[in-house]
Amino acid sequence: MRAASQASKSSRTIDPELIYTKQERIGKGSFGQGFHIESGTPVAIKIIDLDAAEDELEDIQQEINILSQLNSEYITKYYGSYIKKAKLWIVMEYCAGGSCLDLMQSGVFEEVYIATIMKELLKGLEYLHSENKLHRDIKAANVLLSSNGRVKIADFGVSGQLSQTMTIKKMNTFVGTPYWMAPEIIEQAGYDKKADIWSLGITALELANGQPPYADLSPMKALFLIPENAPPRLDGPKFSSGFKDFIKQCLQKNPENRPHASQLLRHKFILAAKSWKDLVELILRHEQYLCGLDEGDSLCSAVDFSLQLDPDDAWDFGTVRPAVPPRPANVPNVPVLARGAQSMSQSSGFDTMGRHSVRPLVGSHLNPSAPPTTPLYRQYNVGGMVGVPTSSPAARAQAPPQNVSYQQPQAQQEPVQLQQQRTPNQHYFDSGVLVDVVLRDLVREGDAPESVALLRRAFQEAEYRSPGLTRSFVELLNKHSK
Amino acid sequence: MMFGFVKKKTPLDLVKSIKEALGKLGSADSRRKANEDISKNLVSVKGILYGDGVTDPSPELVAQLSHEIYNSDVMPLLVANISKLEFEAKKDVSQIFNNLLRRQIGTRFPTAEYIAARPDVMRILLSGYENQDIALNCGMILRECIRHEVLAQQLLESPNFWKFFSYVELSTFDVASDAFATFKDLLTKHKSIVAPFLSSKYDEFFAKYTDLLNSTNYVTKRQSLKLLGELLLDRTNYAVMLKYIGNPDNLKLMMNLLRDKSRNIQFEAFHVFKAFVANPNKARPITDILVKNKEKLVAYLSSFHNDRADDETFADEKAFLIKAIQDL
Repeated sequence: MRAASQASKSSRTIDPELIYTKQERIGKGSFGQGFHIESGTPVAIKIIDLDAAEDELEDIQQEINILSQLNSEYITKYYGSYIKKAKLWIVMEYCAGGSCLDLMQSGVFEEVYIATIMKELLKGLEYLHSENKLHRDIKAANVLLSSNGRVKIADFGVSGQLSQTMTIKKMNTFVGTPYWMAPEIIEQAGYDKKADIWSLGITALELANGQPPYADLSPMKALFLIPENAPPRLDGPKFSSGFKDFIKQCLQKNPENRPHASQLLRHKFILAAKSWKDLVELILRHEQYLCGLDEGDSLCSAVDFSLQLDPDDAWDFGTVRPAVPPRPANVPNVPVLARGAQSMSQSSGFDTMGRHSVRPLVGSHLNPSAPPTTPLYRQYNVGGMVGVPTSSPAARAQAPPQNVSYQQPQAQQEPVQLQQQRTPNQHYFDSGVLVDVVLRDLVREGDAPESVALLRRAFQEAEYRSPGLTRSFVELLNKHSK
Repeated sequence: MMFGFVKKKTPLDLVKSIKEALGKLGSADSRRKANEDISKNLVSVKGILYGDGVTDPSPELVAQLSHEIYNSDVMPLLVANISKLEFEAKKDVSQIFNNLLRRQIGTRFPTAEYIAARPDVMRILLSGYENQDIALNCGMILRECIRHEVLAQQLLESPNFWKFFSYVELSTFDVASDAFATFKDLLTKHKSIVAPFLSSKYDEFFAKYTDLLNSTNYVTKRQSLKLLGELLLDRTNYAVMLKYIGNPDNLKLMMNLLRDKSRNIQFEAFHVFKAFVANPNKARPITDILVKNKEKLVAYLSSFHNDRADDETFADEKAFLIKAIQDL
């Protein structure tokens, strides 16, 4: 009894904001990026206002229950959920590569990448279906890539569980996103695992063509046409017959004729897939595309450590921090850390929302005015983390879309090398925060921002050469001032 | 391996191996191997109980297996060690328990009887709410247990029942929600045992329940208020309701919750508040409070959740309450 009350007392005081830092701009009902304060692990956080939510609490609880029972490398991992006032925090694995929909901004994918993504997705679906669970909203926006190229199925906001007693009886709820919906869902005839196979086929078409069939029509019109028309097919000489057949197998109007995920894994199109590690190339291509798009943008210049400081954006080098997460051993002072991370989110225009959000309609992600995500910086992290600096000229030369002016800034080379030189136990993160905090206070009226920037740069360089130096400097300063 | 010639472990072998391996979980050296064995064998046990997806389970094998499981007393060991098992193995334990708990021979439920004779099993399952890693697995089994009236009664009457009041307030949403789901099942599934329980433990129960209604945890507050409405408005709990709505402190609480800043809480409070007003034999202190606040109540209710126009029952009830208060 005593143990119980102790346990509950300690857990009752759990405040998610003491465990995770979050970005200010986390949107309603969509995932944004945050960090686990103690370990520095990046996480995806979704915050739901339970008082505003239309859903019954029980439905949300049921969803969370399903999430917490999933454990597969093909599915974004659930870390926990917490209550703060009337807000529910759902904390999940963060996928730095972004969604396939995001990645398609720099052009549609080549067939071999699609095969690879499909293979990984099928493994995820095989797991889900073996657990008697449906996803019900498979689409490019819900297919995420981790920084090293792993494919993960995300967003189980509408997933349903087939209970053991319901294996024959089918589900009958109208969920999903119109363009990807299987005909039997639209006709409300009851559906099962095969509905996910249809959506998978639509997603393959989406990856090949840039959008799902009927995307130029209204969702209502699509809802009408999907059950009415013959199933969509993949056309064009640039696609293999294997790919075309794969689509044909998935997109059969009678769900019984669609193969299971495990059967599709033996399809010749899937057998020709490459390793998921190659998908890093899609991430690199995208980052370079974004950087080319926003040349001179502070995010890019942050990487080349130029002195071009815009007074409003002066301390934006904070945006590069997420790539170098703090490590437990190096975190002496959580408050400073949290403050630093927060200032990062305030000052940066970096939008991770789009990466995880599931917005109902096609194209909502393709908003050209949306702020770019921290491009280059994650790229280097990729190289550093998995030890494959895949940014070989060959990889870069691959498949840039024709309409994109393709830039290869000189400055890219340098940080890559820096990253490789640094030991895994670098002190960059917390020292970087210290510098940031100290230097922010140093800006006095009349000072040219460049002078402070010079100082900052000196600290950065020193920190790169001797990790931890900044911290020692600050500690020493503290000691002397006492 | 030649298909069809693989010698499958018999139920006896499976249960024996699991039991042996459970004994080896304690030492660091043998733990990994023991866990592997347990995970593998639990999958086989599950396969016997649920079938392999192609063929249905064989009744003879199922009978043999359950016989071995009862005889070997492996169930208490499994729940006692569930926190040490691998992720999928934990889920398998839940599924195996829940299958066995549904097993019926004639009118008897042998697994329910078995667990009823070993109160430790439910006690350990309940304490699973203190460990986030196993809370949901244990909760799933617990809810399956209390589908059986005999087990529900046992839990309701055990001193452990009162632990629910702290479990449902945990701020780890998933665990607290699961605990609340079990708590709710316990109080609503077997009405004939709940009504006498609530009557005999009235003071203790509602003292603790009031704490839930005043909780700073939004989810606890909202859910417990909703459940209160369901409990009080259930016919079997009529006597309990009369006692509850005769207490002016309860009325004050509901009137305050009616003005809570959360719309959902206001709405749930309405459904308890209406019982106080609709009571034809109101106690004097209750009438006093209502009369004293007559104008304010009428004004507040007149503009209360008017956007719920499509909810006709609610609109009717509200009109009835306004009239009843005006007529006081």
